[in-house]
Amino acid sequence: MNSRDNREMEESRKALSSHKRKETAKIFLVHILLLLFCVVCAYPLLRIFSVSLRPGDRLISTDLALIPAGAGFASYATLLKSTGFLRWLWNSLVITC
Amino acid sequence: MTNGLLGPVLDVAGFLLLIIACVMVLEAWLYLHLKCSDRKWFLPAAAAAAPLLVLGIFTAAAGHMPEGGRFFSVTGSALIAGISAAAFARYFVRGRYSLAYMLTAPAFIGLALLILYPLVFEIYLSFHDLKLTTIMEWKRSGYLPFVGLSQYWKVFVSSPLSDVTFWQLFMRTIWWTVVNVFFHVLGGFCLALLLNNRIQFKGIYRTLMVIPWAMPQVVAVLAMRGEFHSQYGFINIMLERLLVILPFLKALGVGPVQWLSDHPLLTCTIINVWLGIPFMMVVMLGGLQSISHSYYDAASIDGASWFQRLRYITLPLIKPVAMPAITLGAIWTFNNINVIYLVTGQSGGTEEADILVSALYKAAFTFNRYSYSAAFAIVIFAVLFGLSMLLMRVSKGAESAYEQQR
Repeated sequence: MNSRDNREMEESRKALSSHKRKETAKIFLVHILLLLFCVVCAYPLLRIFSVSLRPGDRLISTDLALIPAGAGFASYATLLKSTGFLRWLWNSLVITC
Repeated sequence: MTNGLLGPVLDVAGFLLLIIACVMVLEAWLYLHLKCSDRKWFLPAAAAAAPLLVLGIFTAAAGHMPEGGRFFSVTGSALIAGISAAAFARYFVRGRYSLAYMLTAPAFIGLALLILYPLVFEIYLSFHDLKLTTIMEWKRSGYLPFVGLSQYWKVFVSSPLSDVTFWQLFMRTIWWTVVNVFFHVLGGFCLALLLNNRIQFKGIYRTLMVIPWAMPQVVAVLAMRGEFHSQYGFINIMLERLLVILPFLKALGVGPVQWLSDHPLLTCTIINVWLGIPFMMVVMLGGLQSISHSYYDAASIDGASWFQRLRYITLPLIKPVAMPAITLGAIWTFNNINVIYLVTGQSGGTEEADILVSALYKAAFTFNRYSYSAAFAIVIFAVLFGLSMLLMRVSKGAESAYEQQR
């Protein structure tokens, strides 16, 4: 009786651990797929940001680096100073409210 | 100083005060209607007061009366509005609901002006003939030639753009809608299934994956159009580098492609699928989370496989949530002028990827055929209305989950 109980406990423990391994593999796969799609969704936004950091004389280039060579916030400074950006932002806020 | 920071604030404050004054006048007018509606002198007084009020506003605000035929049409519509408001107050509103009507009236009137009036004007335009050659005459005298149903006839028979007919555009729009909605639903459902498990970082994944939908659509579409550029967009750059790493792919035909000139509709489809999957994912996730676990527990006790659980439990129970979302997605995709016009419709683009609504936009604003576009718009609306009614009827999506289980 005792040895049969022991054997049953062994089998159920092995079944549990293989079930746990399958569960872990499934969770790993889910994370990989989700991460892949997150990259696909967020990458264009990162590209927009990295193009905005490019210096003015190298605006078009085939370099795929996320932080381009000679990066700087010059475009942002021009946006705030030479265009009516703050006025447009105020307009949007007023219309939303 | 007034042009710097204080100027716009004073502008906005003045505008707000004007709106508040108009709403107060409207509420006072309605209150008088509802209070005195059972006096004998009510109907004639209301019928007389409304056009006088309108003329008073015109004279005060614009400094002159409207001329010619416009004068009579304005007075006539003010008369009709006054009499109908009086009749409404007297015969339809019973005392208890008068406060509700008074409170919702400003919003209703605002919406009616913004939605009803353009709709009525569009129907009026579609039966007359307003184009570049008749617009000056119309401005001068308020007269438009009446052409009956000939604009509608022209919609079906002649071509809105250079050489593409209505039926070609219609087929292309149907194809565009079907392909896009298919990939939206497939991608959204798969992602919702993935997110529905017990995993960590669900919030972070959901936030990152909602980015295409959360970005302003114009910005996202223009950025993606730049990325499909044949030389400097990252799609072609990555394909070139992939060919360097794995050169056997060249034999399979993989390589940099002239996206915007050779395959404009495919480019628009890829961009629209990228934009539309997050919405479907969020809706499907909500639907999946509303299915109670007891169904799945009962099924796994009975020995159902994963696919059987999907087919017999998940799909039927997610239908009342998914079908309205799919209908909405189909309507939005059918009418999606943003992606098509911004990617291919601007100057220097191509007309190959036009769908019905972008051809409508071009006919109206590039070729100045306003009456034709009005008729075209009404035809598109009728088609879309019919298709969505058909979709809702066929899928029985308007029933709730409880009715379906019976």
